[in-house]
Amino acid sequence: MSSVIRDRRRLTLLGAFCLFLSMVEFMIPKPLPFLRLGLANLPILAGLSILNPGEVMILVILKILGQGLINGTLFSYIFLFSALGSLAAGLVMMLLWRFGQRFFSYIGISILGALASNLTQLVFSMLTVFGKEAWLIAPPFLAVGTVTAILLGIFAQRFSLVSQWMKEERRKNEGHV
Amino acid sequence: MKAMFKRLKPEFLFVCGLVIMICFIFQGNLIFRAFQVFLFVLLSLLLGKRFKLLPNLIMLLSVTLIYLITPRGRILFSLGGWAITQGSLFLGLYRGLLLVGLIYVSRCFISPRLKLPGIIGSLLGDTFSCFELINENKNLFSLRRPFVSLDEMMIKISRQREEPAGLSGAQKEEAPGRARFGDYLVPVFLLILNGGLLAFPYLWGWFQNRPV
Repeated sequence: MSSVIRDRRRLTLLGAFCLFLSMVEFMIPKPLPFLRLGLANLPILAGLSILNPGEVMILVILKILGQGLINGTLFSYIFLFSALGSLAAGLVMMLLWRFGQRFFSYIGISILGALASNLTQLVFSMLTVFGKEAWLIAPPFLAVGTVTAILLGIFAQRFSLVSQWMKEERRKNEGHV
Repeated sequence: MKAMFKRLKPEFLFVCGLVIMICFIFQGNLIFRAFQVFLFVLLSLLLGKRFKLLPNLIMLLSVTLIYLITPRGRILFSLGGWAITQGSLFLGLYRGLLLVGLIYVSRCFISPRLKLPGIIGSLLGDTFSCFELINENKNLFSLRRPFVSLDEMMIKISRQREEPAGLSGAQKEEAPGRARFGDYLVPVFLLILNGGLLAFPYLWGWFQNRPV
């Protein structure tokens, strides 16, 4: 695994930002406990252009475990929901970035990542908690997920254009090659 | 109570939580499960964790309502044309309490000081020390200019990390000190109580059917 990591500091900085944003999200009041904004996915989205596929998946694992430890949800269903959703979203976003960069912007990648995450969580909730009635919560769940994914995508797109930090990291990557 | 739990090793709390979680998951009696949830919430309050009644109630009620859609067992009463059945009500409450209870077991027994083994554990350690740096610099972030301020924050933290290692906030924190005998009492009591609640229906059944 250590051979996959090109820059440990960069990877853990993005991981720490995932935790910071998840803490920010934790403080935002939500009308329903199942509704999530997914702010913590922002560093993963931004990291797609500077990390290799292996690093993206390690970042996703750091986010999942870090959130589980900081919010203390490691033993709960929330952790399983979050882990499955994050892994599905991370995998889809990484594959789209790698193979479909010409066709998708950050916004498109963010929407499809959120869809992958929400659908995985719905199927899991159908199998474990709610049974087949889980599809009843699907419309609001998917709608909120799509709206927040569009906003996150817009933010990531703007950030990647203006960020000096990302420019510097891209330059470092070119130096590596 | 908070100081007592802080002095205990995170690994000890993790194992206690794991055993309690297993006892909680396999608890078959609805009343006992409700009592266990009450205990976990009480412990979480004593540990100074944040508690909000409404999100927990919404979670419990929404799970119960979804189970009530499919009728199971005896009809208790009808709301318009909707039959509220005993089986669905019990199953919904049983599952809803499981969800709520697991959150509190986890909050009480999972410590951010818990160190995971291997490369992922070491990366997570670095992530947490960087997280402390972000927390120390969080005032740099401004909602008025989110892109620029976030970028400045990332540049500053990257530079700080390149400097010779200083003490991060987490490391500066005072060590919690050695655990005393009394510190172990609450987790061990909870272990025994939850194990007892799991075993009670089986022991009671054996006691009633024992050969005289």
